Amino acid sequence: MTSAAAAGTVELRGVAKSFDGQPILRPLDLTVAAGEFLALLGGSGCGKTTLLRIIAGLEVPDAGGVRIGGRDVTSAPPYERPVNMMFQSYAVFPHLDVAANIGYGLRAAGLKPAERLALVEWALALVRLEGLARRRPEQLSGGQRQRVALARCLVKKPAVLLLDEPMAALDRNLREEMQRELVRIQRDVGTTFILVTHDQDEAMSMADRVAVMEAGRIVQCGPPREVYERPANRFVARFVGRVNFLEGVVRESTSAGCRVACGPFEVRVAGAGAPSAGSACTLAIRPERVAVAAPPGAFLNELEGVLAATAYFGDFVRAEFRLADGSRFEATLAAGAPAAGGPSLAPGESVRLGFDADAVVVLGP
Amino acid sequence: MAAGARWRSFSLAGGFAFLYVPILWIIVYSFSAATVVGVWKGFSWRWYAGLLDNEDFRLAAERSLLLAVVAATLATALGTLAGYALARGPRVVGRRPLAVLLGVPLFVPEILVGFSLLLLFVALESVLGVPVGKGLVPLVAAHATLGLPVVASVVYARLAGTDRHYEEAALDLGARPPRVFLTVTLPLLRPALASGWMLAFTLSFDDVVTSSFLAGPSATTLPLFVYSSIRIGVTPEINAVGTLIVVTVAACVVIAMLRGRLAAQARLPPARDAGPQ
Repeated sequence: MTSAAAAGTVELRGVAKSFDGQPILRPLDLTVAAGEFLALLGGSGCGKTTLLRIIAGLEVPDAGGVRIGGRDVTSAPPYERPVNMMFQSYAVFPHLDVAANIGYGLRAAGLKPAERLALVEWALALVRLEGLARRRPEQLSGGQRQRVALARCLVKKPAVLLLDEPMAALDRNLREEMQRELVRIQRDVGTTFILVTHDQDEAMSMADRVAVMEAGRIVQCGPPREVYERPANRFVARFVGRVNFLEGVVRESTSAGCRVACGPFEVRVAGAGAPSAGSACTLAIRPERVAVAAPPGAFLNELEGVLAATAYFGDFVRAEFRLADGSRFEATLAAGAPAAGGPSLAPGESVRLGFDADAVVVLGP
Repeated sequence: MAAGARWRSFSLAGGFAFLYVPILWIIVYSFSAATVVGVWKGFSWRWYAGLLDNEDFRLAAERSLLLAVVAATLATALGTLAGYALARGPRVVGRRPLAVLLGVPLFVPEILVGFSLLLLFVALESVLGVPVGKGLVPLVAAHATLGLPVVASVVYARLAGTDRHYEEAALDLGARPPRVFLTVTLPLLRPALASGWMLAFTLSFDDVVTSSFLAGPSATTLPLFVYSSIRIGVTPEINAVGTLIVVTVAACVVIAMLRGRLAAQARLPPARDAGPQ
């Protein structure tokens, strides 16, 4: 790895922050590799924006240290960090035109007009805003303003780019286009991206790694697939995608898996690391791993459920069942496929729900 | 209903008449050819023409304009720093009391302001050994004192309603705090600075009380010229002077208000609570 690429590593060690005695970040560690696209995912008030502002230097942590590219920047002001941040409000300067906005940081760095011009043109092309250099911010759409904010950061060629809820103000179609665009730009420039979002789809589809935050802590950090398929606890399982929970007691535990008694049913779980026999646990099953009206014996685990309601989403149907103990259980069915009777089911019907042992995750406390 | 509406229009008209008839009376009679105040003898510019030849008037008017421009500029510079410190400074304990204290000159009787400043400048005179007790220098200082709280509160209000993200973005893009202030904060404040300057100009231009303590014989301002003239006897010339003062001040106030409204229309995104997320 070249030294230029290594400049993009971010290491947080024991970083903590509180406002007015209210802890916002509990001591937390996080390492982001150079060139990585990391998403900080969490609900409002979980501390994700504060974490981003600490990396940018706009907040000073109460404890812990921040290293960027191996250099300790814990107490360095924002203008001495190789980091740029795109604000949720974009903060495009209203008194400057597009070119002057993009060139602002270059001017502050003391570049000559000719050098600035070349770089601004490069940045305009990168975000596909050629020809709008002389526009005033109030003449731009929300999506264009966002591109100006992005170009203004990228033109500085930062080692790390921080993005605070960049899509929150965009409508849905534009949001998906910009998500693809951001991933493209990240591949092109190879900069480390740290994106703050509360939108799990955004985090999953864009990032190399997702860090799920709750109440000032990072509760799980890993590739999107791992976070989705092996959630660390109930919070992660519920925050990332939809999930069914079953409460039970472990009957038998082996290195190959375990058997868990959940009321009248017994659920087999594949994989090592199960808790010992006799302990209570929570099982998580994703709705899309559940087969509706499964033929008997086709799946290792079978439940009986009564159809309570269905909701049609176009590309899929979500069916909600009630189990014998009254708890909810969801399954998703592809809407187009003539799936095992799915759409033809009537509410009140009793159906067999099947899922495999490897579809079940035993959650930690 | 109809009676109520009539009563409301009547009271509105009465209120405005109370406010404006005396001023209109002065303006109308400033164009009268009669040599006695309050007598109409046909339209004439003679009093305005006469003013042009009046050396005392010309000097007082020039002095007042110069004084108002310098004092308003000084008040704007100092008031902007005060308003900026209050809105963007560190969250120290006692910032709120400081904001209230800054407004004290607005509600301390002007006669006290004038008197205390006179004592201060006389004391300074004996310390410095330079005659600064009366004249233009103390007048500039006094009038800047009158304008400073007004500018500070206009600037404070504007900054409190402006997203901090602009300044944070500038810092993040590599600009040091002085550059951020000059290239981001001040341009964002431009409408507030313009209206604050106009208001400070107005306060200085029509001030009598403070000036009467500090002006001295060598630095008569336009309002003091009017005041001393009518003690000798009211002439229609004074009507013309009054009309000119009203027009100047009204122009400033209207411009200040228009700038304020334009600023409100081109409203920036509302300030987001910078609290933790």
